[in-house]
Amino acid sequence: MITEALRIMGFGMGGIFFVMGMIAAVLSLLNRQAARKNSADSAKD
Amino acid sequence: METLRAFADTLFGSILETAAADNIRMLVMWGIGILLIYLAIKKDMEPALLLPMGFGAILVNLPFSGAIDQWAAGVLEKGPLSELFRAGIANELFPLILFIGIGAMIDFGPLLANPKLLLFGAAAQFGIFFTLLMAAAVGHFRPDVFSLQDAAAVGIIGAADGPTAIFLANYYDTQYMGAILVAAYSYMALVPIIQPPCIRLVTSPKERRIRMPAMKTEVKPWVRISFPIVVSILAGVVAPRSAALVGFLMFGNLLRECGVLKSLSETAQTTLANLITILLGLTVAVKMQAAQFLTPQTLLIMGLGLFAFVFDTIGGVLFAKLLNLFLKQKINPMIGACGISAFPMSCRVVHKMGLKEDPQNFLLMHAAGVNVGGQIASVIAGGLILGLVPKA
Repeated sequence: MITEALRIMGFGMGGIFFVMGMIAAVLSLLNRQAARKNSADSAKD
Repeated sequence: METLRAFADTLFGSILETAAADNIRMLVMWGIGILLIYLAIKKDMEPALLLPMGFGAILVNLPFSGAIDQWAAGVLEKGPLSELFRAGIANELFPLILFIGIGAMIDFGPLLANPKLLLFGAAAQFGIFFTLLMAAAVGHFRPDVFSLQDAAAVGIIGAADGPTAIFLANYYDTQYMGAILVAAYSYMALVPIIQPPCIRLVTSPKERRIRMPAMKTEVKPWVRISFPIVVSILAGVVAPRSAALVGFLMFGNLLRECGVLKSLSETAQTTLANLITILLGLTVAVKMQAAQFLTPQTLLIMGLGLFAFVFDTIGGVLFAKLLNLFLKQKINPMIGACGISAFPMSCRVVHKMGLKEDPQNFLLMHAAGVNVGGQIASVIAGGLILGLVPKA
């Protein structure tokens, strides 16, 4: 049971970092897109 | 004399019929119920859940209580609390509906402005898996105490998230649901006592005084709307079993952020959340019957639950310290402790600790960002466990 728990621990922590990392990456892209649109709108003004 | 005896039998027959040992256990559970009510009212410890749980514990531990199912003359008489349990907890509905309300309450703004804070939320779920490992170690040497499924349900105390704990405990059909929930909600209320010594243990005064620059907090509305959709898709693809947990939380948040459903959002945050909370607390007490609750395993679970919170805190702080080895602009490692899902208590604790070390150091926005990230991480952790640990 201990080996199984260690496997779960490894995959679990890895999985959370992977998912949260992906969400952070997508959010950063969205924020960058928003910032680019902002500067384009300010340049037009 | 005969009349007196018949009168006594009518009034106290149920007590006289139960064995003396059962009566003692019944009294102990009444005491525990009263203690939970006292903690809820006098100490303001998670009153929304501890008060109904405490009162429910008294109701279900009355001899031959009509509040729960009872066998009488070979016929099952259904009790209302047992019916509510079947209607809302056995089928996982109550915690999921509560998540809609919780999602509608959360402002993810500080997190959306600084997405890397999500990683601290991930790190602070370490306590869940470490506790799962420790419970599994107990089960390895004493299989009669914990199965792997019990270990998973005990580990999820570290999620510091009631609905996730209820969801998993019920999914794995653990006999320890009552103890797990009492541990989870009690320790959530004790975060201001548990976290500070853990943080001080793994940080130096110099680290605690690291100043964080002011955070930008402006987030475009379409980013706020995209966020719950992105999270639901990503989490659902990687951990399909988390789709319900994450999806309901994110649906609540979408109701809040869409801007066109103000009345639904308000209903979710107030009426819906309050209604489900009332029913949830009372119903969960079905699992606090003396025979299931008064066991040595309950004490063990209380101890493991404390471990879970401690290692959540230490995991988040150590991750921040690890990042500081590579970053030019250092992070105050205390904010790593906010990755625990106890919102907003944890971020207030860290903010206060930061001010104590340096009255000019305002950590609240950073801490709040990490704290709400922890909410998402804890739900995803629950979903991952559902995928990794099969049902018995």
